[in-house]
Amino acid sequence: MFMYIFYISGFIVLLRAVTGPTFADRVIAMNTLINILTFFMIYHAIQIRNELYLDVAIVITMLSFVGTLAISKYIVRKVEW
Amino acid sequence: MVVQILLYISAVFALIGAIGLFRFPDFYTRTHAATVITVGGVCLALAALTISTFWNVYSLKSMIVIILIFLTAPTATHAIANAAYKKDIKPRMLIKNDLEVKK
Repeated sequence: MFMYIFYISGFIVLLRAVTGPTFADRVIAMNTLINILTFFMIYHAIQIRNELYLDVAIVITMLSFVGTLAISKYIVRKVEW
Repeated sequence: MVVQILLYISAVFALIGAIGLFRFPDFYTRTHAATVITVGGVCLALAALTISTFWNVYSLKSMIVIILIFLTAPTATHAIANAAYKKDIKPRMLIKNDLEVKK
């Protein structure tokens, strides 16, 4: 039952990522959506008793952080030049 | 029982944060709602999953993911807010800007 509430909240966050007025809204919404997806992945791994998805969740968390930092540094440097 | 209560509380936090992320008028207030989703929703749910399967490889890696999210989420939000300020995204109903460089 609580998973449906998480699905609805993830869909609303995806709606904000689609209709964001600026770039920063899209980046924040996608970062939040990736965090929700990490929780989905660990819950699914515990449900089906498969340890492989846990490593995938850790790697996806670190990659979302690196991607957000890369986008922000790229935009700042593009403005300053 | 405790795990179910924590999961429902985290689901309510995630729904409140999503409504805030959709309804807030400004970027700098939407970062607040995104932090509510990340900390109150995802980290609390992962703590509930850690309690439910204690002590296991699942609980260990859930704790690693919680620590990673606590380290990376404020840094990412700060970096993207810095980029948004440099790109001249002003807050709504701004009266006086103290960070502006005096000519």
